[in-house]
Amino acid sequence: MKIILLIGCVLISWQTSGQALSSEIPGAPIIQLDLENGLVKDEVPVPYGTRLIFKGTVLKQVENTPFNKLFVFYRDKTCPDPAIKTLDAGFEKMTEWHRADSTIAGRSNVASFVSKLDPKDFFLANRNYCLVIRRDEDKTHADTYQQQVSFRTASKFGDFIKLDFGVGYSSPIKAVIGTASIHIYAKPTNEFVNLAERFPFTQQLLMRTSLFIGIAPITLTSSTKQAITPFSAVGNLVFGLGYRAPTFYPKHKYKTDKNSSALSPQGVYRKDFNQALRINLGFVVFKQANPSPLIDNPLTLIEPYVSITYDTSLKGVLAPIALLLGIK
Amino acid sequence: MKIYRLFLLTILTGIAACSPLVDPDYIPPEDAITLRAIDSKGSTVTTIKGDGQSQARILAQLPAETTSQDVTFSTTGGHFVYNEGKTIKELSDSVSGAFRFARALLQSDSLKPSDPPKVLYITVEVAGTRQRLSLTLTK
Repeated sequence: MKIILLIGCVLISWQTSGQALSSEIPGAPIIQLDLENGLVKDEVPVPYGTRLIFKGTVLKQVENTPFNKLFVFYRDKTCPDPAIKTLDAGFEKMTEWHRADSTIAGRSNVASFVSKLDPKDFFLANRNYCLVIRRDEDKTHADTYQQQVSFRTASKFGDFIKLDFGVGYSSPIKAVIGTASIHIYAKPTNEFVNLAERFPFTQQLLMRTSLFIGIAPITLTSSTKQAITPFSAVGNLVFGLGYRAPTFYPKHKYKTDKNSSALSPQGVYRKDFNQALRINLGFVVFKQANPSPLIDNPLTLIEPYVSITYDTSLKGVLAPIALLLGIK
Repeated sequence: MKIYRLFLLTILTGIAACSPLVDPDYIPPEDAITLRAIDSKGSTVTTIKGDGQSQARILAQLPAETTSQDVTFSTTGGHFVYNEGKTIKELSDSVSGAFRFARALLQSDSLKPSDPPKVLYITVEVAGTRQRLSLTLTK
């Protein structure tokens, strides 16, 4: 019965996981820009460390002028007022602005564009940002196009919480246990962000480390002098620390180009497989009958255990099984 | 860095809470019946005068978590004052700290001058568990 419950939870999480908002970059929100009025049309929550896709229309006076790249500058605050009209040659060297060039998908001389923003420093959650978007960086074209737009990133409660399932082993009680746990992160976490990117050390740590609490509804084996009894009706209690993607760090060999962030097909699979993996160090809470015949109440005990779990981004790894079961 | 303190606190709490597993072959002394005889001043005694009048309080100490409160005292010599019998049932309803107590008052037999010293055995039984105490009846 407990095994059926565990499998059911996995399938339900499969159906409901996937907070990806874009089909072009998994997990990347699409932000609609109204560049004529300098507005962001849709307020889209941006989890910690995610990349952005911008869609918008160019101003009418430049829509027939070919261009295939947008130069993007951003800063960690709202846009200046009055708006920036021109960019000086040393603009990107100003410390409060970061350059994050954006490539345009599709044809170059179109009224609308889809731009994938791949900045060196990723946008953080719950912050105000200003983007300055230029058609031409060095002002060699007379009709250089420029616009600025403010937007705010926001996180959801679900960005701090991840659910996973796995198997653990506790040496003191020689028990193999199945676990289902909720992981709580200190920062909003986007499970699709490539952890092999060179984030600062603190950001790497916060994106990978979590506190967890959960249950171990299944005890596959155990070997103790006194039999173990479940802590509660749904199983034993577990809690501890988790560390995501322990085998996935910045490397270039799975990228198409060491200066690019694009992954090879092998790299994509390796990322999807490894980033869902988590190792955990925690404690399992269970009960044992009191050896004294005078006392009927069991004793509550805690012992350490280690486990390997997979979080809810299981789609990439278990896609063939999903197809077999007819799950879309 | 507050989150790191929380991480560390979680691990330290778990480590501090770890405890040895239960060994069914070992019952800690505090979880077993402790039996002793005391005089009117509360001092432990191992002898009682065989004059037919001397009394000793039999004190049974049990863990406070003991499920059953019924304690049966029985003796091979003398008698219990309250029912003049060799067996008496008391309630362990006196709780102090981690223990509960049951008491019975034992009165000695009369020893004849020619009788040698005699040993009394007092047995306490709780929930199928027994403990025995010996008292020497002296002249």
